[in-house]
Amino acid sequence: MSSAPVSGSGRAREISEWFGALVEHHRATAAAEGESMAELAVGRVPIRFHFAGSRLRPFLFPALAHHPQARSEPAFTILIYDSRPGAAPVPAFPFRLEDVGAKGEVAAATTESIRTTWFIGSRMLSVIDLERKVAICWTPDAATLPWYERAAPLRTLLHWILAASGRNLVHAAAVSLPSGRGALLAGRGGSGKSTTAMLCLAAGFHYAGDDYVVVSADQGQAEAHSLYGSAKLTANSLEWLPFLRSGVQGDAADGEKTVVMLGDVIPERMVDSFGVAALIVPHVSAAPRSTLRRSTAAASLRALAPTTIFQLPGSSGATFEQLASFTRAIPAWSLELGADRDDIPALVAQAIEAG
Amino acid sequence: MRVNTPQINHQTIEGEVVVINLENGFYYSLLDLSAALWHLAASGLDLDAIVERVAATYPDVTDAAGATRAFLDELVAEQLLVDGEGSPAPAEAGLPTRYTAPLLEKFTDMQELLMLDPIHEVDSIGWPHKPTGT
Repeated sequence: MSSAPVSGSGRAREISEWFGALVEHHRATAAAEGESMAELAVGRVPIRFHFAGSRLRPFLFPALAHHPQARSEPAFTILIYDSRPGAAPVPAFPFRLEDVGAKGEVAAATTESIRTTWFIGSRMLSVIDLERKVAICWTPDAATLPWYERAAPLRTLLHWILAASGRNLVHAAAVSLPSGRGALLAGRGGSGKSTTAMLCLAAGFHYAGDDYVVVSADQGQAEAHSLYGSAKLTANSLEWLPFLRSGVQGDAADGEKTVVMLGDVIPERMVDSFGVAALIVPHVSAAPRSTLRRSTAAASLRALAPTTIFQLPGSSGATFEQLASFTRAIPAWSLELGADRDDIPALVAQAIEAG
Repeated sequence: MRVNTPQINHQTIEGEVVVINLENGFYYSLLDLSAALWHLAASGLDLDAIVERVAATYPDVTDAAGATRAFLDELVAEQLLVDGEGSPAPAEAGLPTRYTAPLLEKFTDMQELLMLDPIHEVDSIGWPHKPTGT
């Protein structure tokens, strides 16, 4: 986790001035190369995505394009850009490579209002000023972005923006019945949540996400909200869902998985928000049949919180507390994924309808 | 003793205590007597006093005191508890009627995730930074 943010007004002012220089750098890039904007409601939070230049939008926007248009003034604006060869250099970072923490967090460029991450693998800078309500995403070259930044773009910035708006980005899948109620599928990578989500999709469920979704509990109503219109499919999943082949992103692959933009292929099956009636923790099992049984809210919390917190920079005890509050409100289930998976969608539906 | 905040956080749901270490990724589950012992220890009650209370509550259980001492020592060894003044225990912090051997269930799967984190497995080509000495 990150260490304490910088203290001292001089250092904080230097970080703030650097943020201002980045904003100006984005403005100059937009003036030189053109710009485009979109205002979307993500988890019902209105966010403006302001691209300078045209190179990053094809990589970062498709997984977000399924969100509805925002109907009110943006709560936050994200400035997004890269640098073409020969362009003015990005304002020098006020921190060193050694300052970057295990999850990309940079305590040396974090103040009361500003948070910073640098992801070395994707060479992506994410900075947010919670007072100015402005966030910045910069990378030196859009063409070098790895596939995972396209499947789950702007994840850190959206995590911070949504947290500031009373939402939690969580590591979970989410599917719903056409009736409008649904289930959150929680668990670490490999637990079977993506497989379960894809089996449900093949059985006619609606889909909010297979890896990261947003949850909220406004006025006691637990809801899940779609975040990304992407899905990571195994070869098996593509067999179950052959109609998704047209949405495969050619070079976006994670080992055995292929990234598909569902929002492009089956927009009618994407659901923006739904009431969560069940929190299901799947487990891959060697049993011949799949089985569903009631579980505990504490088991839900153990499946949901650690894998969320340890992937998202800036998560804290407050995140843990919020997720505990969320899991307390939702009936908990355990789903053993047996060899015969035909029954899985019916079991998920059973949990939803029981809730 | 007190909970080793801010790196250690805990939540109690339906009697189960879930404890998470935000520094190293370990998380824990405590049930039944273990949950009660956690609340007593986190409230600042002296560990020797807790052991004595367990021995008095379960006089027919062989080595209840020894098992409790080992459990409390494990909480300290895991750095879940440190020296300091605790917070008041919740109302349900009494010992349960039925004795169950105290157990700290530890989950280490997040360690793998942290170690697999791809962001540090590449070089720093393109790293912009201030020249040395500025």
